[in-house]
Amino acid sequence: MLRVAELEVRYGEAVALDGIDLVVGDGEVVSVLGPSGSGKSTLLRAVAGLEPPAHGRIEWDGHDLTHVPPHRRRMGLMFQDHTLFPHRDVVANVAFGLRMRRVPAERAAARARELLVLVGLGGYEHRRVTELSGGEQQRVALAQALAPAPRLLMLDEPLGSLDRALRERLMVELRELFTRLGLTSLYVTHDHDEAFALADRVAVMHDGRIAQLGSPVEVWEHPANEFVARFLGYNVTDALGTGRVAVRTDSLRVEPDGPIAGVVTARTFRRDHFLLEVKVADGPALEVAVTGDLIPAVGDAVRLAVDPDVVVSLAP
Amino acid sequence: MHAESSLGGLHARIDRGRLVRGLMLAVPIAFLGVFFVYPVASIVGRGLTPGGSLDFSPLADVVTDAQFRGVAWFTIWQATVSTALTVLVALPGAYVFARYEFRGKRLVRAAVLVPFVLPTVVVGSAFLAVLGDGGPLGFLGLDQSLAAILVAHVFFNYAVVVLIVGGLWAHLDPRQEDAARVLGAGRWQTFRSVTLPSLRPAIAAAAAIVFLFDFTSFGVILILGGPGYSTLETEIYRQTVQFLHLPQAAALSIVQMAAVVVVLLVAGRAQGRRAEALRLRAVAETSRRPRTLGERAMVGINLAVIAVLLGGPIAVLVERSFDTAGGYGLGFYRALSELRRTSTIFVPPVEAVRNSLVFAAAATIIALVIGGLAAFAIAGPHRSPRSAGLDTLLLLPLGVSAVTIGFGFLIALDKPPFDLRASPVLIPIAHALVAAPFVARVLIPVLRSIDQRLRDTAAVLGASPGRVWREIDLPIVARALLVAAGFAFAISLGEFGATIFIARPDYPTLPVVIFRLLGQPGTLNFGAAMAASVILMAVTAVAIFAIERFRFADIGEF
Repeated sequence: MLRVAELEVRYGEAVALDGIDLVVGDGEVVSVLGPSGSGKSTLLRAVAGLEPPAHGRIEWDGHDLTHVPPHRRRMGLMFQDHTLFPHRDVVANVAFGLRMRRVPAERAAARARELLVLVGLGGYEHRRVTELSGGEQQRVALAQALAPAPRLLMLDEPLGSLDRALRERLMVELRELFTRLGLTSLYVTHDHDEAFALADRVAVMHDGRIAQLGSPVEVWEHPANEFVARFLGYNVTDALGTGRVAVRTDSLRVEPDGPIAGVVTARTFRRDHFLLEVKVADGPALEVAVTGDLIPAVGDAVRLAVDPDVVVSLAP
Repeated sequence: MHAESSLGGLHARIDRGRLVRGLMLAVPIAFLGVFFVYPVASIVGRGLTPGGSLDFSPLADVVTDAQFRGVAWFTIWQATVSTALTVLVALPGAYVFARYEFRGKRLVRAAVLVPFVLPTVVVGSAFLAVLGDGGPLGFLGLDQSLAAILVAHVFFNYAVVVLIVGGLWAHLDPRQEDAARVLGAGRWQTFRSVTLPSLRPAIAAAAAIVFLFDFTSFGVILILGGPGYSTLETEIYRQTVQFLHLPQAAALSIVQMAAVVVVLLVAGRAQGRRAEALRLRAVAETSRRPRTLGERAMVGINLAVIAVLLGGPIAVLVERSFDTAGGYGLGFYRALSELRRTSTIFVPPVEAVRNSLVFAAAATIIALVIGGLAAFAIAGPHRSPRSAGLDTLLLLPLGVSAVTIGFGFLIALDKPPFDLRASPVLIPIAHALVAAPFVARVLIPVLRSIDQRLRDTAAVLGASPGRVWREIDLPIVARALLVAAGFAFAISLGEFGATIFIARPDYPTLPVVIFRLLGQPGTLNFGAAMAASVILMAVTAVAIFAIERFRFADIGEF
């Protein structure tokens, strides 16, 4: 079990992490979600031992790891890209961590081959890593991180550089793998679909702090504050007459006698719906997801209604 | 798990890291301090305090002297004209290498490099072979003329422009030119408004380097210019060796160093305005076979220029080394072991071959250690903020001419605390001083290119800091180390300016012997100089072809 308490990391004057408290239970997958610059990668690097904390503790099963160098922490870390060793072939990359732990060469190679099969790259042992496609490189990087059986696997935007179709396929494979191997994992991403699909719990980060921590359903249905709501794609508005609230794009409907008047300023086709941007009298434009046959055009005056059950009021 | 929570262990680790870094910095700093800063300071001292107290009169005498002004003016003038000529001749060559594929391109590219790494005395010999008595162009009477110096400088520096400008050109995205053409720009307009601005930093960098080489040119001027043409470099040599006017030589050295610093500053400014936003492409995507008649002519003409300008002198040199009075044969080569004891050479010339190889091996090792440690301190994983100063210190020997270094050794290292005057060890040290900056220049970009996250990944996977260095840094720079070793070896083999000051008659190097032989009368001595030049060229070429092999194997891997 990983426990991070009051963790603070500074780059000179700038505070990158500002009092992080987080527990990851055995076999749990926690996703760290946030925009770039929110400190999520720094959190992984600090837990891995690559960034010295200015304050706070990092523990594993009650033992203090705060000042243990990275190579003695027995964790795995997988970056978005560029982390395979270009001067070694695939199997040597995967076996690297085992070799560092003085596993005999033959056993290391055998284990590396097993892992390559596990990530779907059986037979790739002696390819050069520079010849692999982006998706293949990510699979090798995953096998490399898994090979020494780390007690905590950390992934930093592992699918970030891949195209959409591949990303969705690998997301499913990763989920299966996490469950099958019972991995304890910290998963950093800026994509909430990815975070919700993979994680048992989600930590949304903002300016070096955890803005909200909870299950995917909790976070999605009850964003804790304006930042989280906006980050998840909610409209944040005062136009409903109930104070500042967050409302999802699909909770707003175009209705002839709806209470809110506005004018359509933009219309985008989004596969299963159209997304309208509606300028309302006071406050910023609202985004409204619309389906059906009659889609208002840009310039049309519309009236909007809202489903009161799904409006989240935000603390002022 | 107790060990993991030991704070004492952490402090020990940090201190050891600091210690290692400190040692890595200390070795090159000590080396440069003793063998560069101290000799240069001695020159300045000798020039400014001739009678023991501060006295600017030798410096003032030199600066106001009409003959000196002529020398200074000629130095600047010939360097400027040589540089302009080199850029003009080599720019089309850079274009051809960057944009077109043709059969034998790799071989021609490697061959183009050869003149640049040829020892200056070999370049001098080769042009003497062409232009001197009995040479194919001897009838032009260009022996000991300005034209000979200028053409030799173009010959020498053609590769600099091709490598630096062509290197960038090959990576420029041709689609930018395509876009300009589609927008209605003509060929020439496209070149002027799109290509040339992108190339400007590379052209400025190449021109600065060429200017510096021409400005500090020594062997070529000494051999091809004769007594009629004198630059600051040759004047320092003459004042020291012929007239024993050490204060004058020291004053000239001070002027020379100041001028070089100015050139370096101007060059640094020109390069500082670097176009950061260039879109660079892999080489394979930017070059193709020539298609139209015009394109084929462009490639053909440039290959012809290379063949005549670069290949010609070398071919004539080789030819004349075999052209004995009794027909073609090995007579001059045999003479190398038979010629004995003249007033200036105490050993058969063939012994100089052995000397040169031994010195080059030693210089390579010293240069790799000094340059390598400096590079790791500057660009390695635990770079210290203070190492930027070392970066500058390490570059300074590049700016101070070899002649100045040799002169400094002569006047500084002949008495305690560093009485090394009689010791042959000074030669590889001087060579290493010239080569170490090159070694560091080769290693630093490779070290910088190593993604820190590779080291992080290795650390997380269980590699200790020392292990990270062995497993990540070392294998990735291994090839660059070999390239650096090749350069250091070639530099040492050909080094002449410093060596001529410090080589004792009983252990001369090959360039010194060639120079001495050229100064002796008679066809046998001239022929032997040709033969020795061919041997020196062959040894150097082997080192360079090895470099090119590694360089090419490199591309597209990291």
